[in-house]
Amino acid sequence: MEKHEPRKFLTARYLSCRFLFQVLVILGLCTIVYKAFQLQVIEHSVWVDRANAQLNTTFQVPAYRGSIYDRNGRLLSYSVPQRSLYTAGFSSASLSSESRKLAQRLGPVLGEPQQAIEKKLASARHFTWIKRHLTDQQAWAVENLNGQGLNLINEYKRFYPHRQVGGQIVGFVGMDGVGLEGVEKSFDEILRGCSVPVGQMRDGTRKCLWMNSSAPPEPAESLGVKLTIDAFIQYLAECELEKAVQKYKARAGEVVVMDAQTSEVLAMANWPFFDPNLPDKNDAQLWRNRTVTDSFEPGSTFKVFLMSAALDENMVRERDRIYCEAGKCSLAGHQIKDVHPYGWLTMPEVIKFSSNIGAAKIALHVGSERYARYIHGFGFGSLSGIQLPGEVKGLVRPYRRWRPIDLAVTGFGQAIGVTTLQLTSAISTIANGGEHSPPIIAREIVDGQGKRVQEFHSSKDRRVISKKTADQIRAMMALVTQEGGTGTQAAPEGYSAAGKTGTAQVMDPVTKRYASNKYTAVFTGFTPVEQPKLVISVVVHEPHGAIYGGVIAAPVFRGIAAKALPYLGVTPSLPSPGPNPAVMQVKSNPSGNKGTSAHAAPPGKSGQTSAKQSAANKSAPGKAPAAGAVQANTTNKSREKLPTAVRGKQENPEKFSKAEGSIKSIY
Amino acid sequence: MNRPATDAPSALMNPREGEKQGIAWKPLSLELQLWIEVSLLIAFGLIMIYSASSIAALKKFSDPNYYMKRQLLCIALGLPIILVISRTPYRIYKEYAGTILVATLMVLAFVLIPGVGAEINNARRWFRIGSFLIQPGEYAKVVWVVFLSYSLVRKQDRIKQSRISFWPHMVLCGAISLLLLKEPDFGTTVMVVMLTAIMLAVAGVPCRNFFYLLPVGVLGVYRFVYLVPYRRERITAFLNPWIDPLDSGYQLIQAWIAVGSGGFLGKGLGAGTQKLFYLPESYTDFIMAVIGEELGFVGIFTTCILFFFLFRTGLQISKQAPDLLGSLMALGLTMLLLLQALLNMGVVLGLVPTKGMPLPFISYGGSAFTANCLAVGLLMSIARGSEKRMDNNV
Repeated sequence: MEKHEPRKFLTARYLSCRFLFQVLVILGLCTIVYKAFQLQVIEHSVWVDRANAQLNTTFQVPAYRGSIYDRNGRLLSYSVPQRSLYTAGFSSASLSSESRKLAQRLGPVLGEPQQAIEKKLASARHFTWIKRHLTDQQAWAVENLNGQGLNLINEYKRFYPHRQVGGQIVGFVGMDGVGLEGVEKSFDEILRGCSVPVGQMRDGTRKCLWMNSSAPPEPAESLGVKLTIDAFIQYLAECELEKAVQKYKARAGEVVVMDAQTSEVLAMANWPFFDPNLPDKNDAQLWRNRTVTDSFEPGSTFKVFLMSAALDENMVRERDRIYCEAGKCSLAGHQIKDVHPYGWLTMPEVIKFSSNIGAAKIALHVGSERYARYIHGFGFGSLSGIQLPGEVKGLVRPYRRWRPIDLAVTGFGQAIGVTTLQLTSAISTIANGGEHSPPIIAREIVDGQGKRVQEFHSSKDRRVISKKTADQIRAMMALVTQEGGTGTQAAPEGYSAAGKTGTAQVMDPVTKRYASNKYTAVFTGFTPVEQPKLVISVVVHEPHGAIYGGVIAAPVFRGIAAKALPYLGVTPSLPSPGPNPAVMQVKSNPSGNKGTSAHAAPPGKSGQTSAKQSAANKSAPGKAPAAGAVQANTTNKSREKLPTAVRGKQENPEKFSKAEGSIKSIY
Repeated sequence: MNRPATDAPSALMNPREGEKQGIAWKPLSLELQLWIEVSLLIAFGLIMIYSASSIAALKKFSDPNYYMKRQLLCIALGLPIILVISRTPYRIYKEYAGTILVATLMVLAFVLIPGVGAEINNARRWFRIGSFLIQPGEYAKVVWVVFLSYSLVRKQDRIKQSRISFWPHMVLCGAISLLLLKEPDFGTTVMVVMLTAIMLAVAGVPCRNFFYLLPVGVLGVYRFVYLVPYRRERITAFLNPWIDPLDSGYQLIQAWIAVGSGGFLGKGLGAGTQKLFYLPESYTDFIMAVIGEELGFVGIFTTCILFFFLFRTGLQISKQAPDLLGSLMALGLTMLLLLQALLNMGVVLGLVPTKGMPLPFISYGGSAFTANCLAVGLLMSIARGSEKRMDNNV
């Protein structure tokens, strides 16, 4: 190209200018390339940081309150978005006429008086709720009104699908979603949750970009709580309690059911019931979970702990006998009575027949300090630490201030205050062989998808009594439900049970004296005896028509245990009485004799039988009328086994007494 | 493989060897060179417009292809313009040059009339025809170059006489500038002034005349830059954008972030993030920032190389033009394209204070595109003239 000569008409000026422009343009391009190089290669990292700084942001995914589940994942409480109506204030010009018109149209939709609505509409404030938590129909109708100044907003409302079942445990939330009672309160921070920050890109208008996900994330459910409560057992406990409470026209009643092995609370029933869906329509008195917030005098059930202390400290031995003063005696300047007069009783018999005089004598023998140590050891007088609001310690006065009479009556559970939960937990300690583990109400923290985030376990934290003592006490408690004991009505068909009845006098808050006509009927115990699964405490306050724990509370225990044990897959270890006791008698006679007792029956027995048999056994209590047929169908092997168990049950009281010393001599 | 087969490609690839062996190394004709360069720029621009504008188009028109479609329409309009103009002898405008200039001045005046010209962002630069906006200022630049070259050729014999060769042009330049400043369109004004200086200098107007203008220039800068708050702000923002990074310095900082974060190879075509409403005018005046971000240093360098080739071809055309008219016009038009490119890239990279100036053939914008097509068509016409002459000579 350069070979062409420049044209003649091109002047030197042209050529020099052209050259100059060439240089300038090339210089300019080089400057641009240099500047680009500087920005893009040399300072690259600086600009990348700047770009990221303005590009990256965190998006707060809104969260709504988490759900509460029972141990099997049944929903006990959950949040549902519901629309609420508010007004952002009217312009002052159209104030009166507009708001009146609107109120006239809103009135029928909301079902509220027009004046009240008009007043709210006319409010000068920027934000006024008109009505919160509308039904879907109402929200739709309001939308169709197209009223100026009316706004709908999503709010989350709490629903309790099981209504009053476990109402006091679950508690409820206030209008603004803050937990006010129960688990809703104690786990409020976890349930309430907070919005979750998510790394996100945003554009120049500071809006988040949803490039990988098609839409902004929906509000996420916050962490939920999976309780140890089993809704079925809770329901069962409530049904049985209600039956008893209504039969005896009691003032109130409580039941705590606990898993003996894990210290997990399976049920906490409070009568009268409370529906957390309608907290305002219930008396505030009903909101409390009285199994932890109220203490009562446990009465004779406390003899178990006295006996534990006495045996564990070797202050008495099992065979020791104690004279029970024929039902009436004066101790430490006060008169103490037994319901039935007894003479000499062995230690198991003091428990079995529940002798107050015997217990008082033992208490005086053990002494305040030792006894108090065991009382505290079992967890009385201190918080159990269960994650429920309003728990009380109960009332255990310092032992140094106990007068002898206090010590004596504390021996049979007066002058001391415990909660139903403390009582259950303490019995659980005995059922567990003497090691205490604190009761728990929450099993897991789960995320919105139900995936476990955190797990709670109750671990054994201290040994209260030795294994030997615990075994002895368990044997004594087993006697209570057997013939002649005070709690025979507690034994569920097919299962062995151990427990202790209690009938406590109630201190009149006004006179500060024990009221003559007010009692607390208590039964606490565990089942099955061999391998405790359930610990159940039943407390019925101020019953009428009967007063004894063995009469009022024990059947509640039986009612719960009889249904809950098969439900939990615990196979019966004892045969049901069956349709014809005579047959049983015949069967038991040939094998004839000694050595076996109910509580000593190997717990593995049911485990050894085939699955078919255990299924047959399991179904037995449920289908009592058909039990004979079921037994007839079982294999030879199980037939061989069944009589043993039958024999065990029927002969037990006698055998036991023979082994442990002659009861006849006492009588 | 035998030897001749391997020899053949190397012979083709090495022109010197080809010469040695007697094979003629025929360079591409200037017109074809221009076609290739402009086509590359247009194609590249179309891709970058699509990348830079799709988000904005989606947001504004619910159609990510909106701006690309319109640009395609402009290309469909621009290519025939190139074809027609390049096949029209450039000398035929001689008689009409004055008329065209007067018409242009009138159009520039018309656009200032409220109701006739469309006002956007406090500027009245456009005629609205349907959904299209026509910016006469863009065409005025081309017209001005064409007129100046005719006028200067006509006055070539009296070029040393300032009264004839200098002042009349200065008056006209002043008139155009004032009309443009009234819109206001500072970028085009700067271009017109610079082109005037270039054309006059090349044509041989005595240099001392330019010194007379120094006070006028200073006064003009004072009046139209220093006294206009937003222009003064642009200067301060150019000097240090970090003083006000969210307002006056925002555009430049965002451009720097775009270019700087692109790195050597860029984030990848379409993968840039600054076009997500961080970078204002991402598909028009600041498309270079998107190129820098998505294609990196390589992209900017390639763009510069393309413009350099365009510049080289333009200067060749100017040099080989059949007459002084073609030579002057070709130089002016080449400088028009290149100055715009340089200023635009300079603005994006913070080397020049911000002013509205599109990147020729790459930025979105119909008027600028068709005006540039006009310029390229004229250049081709001049190139064709010289080819014809050479053919005649041969």
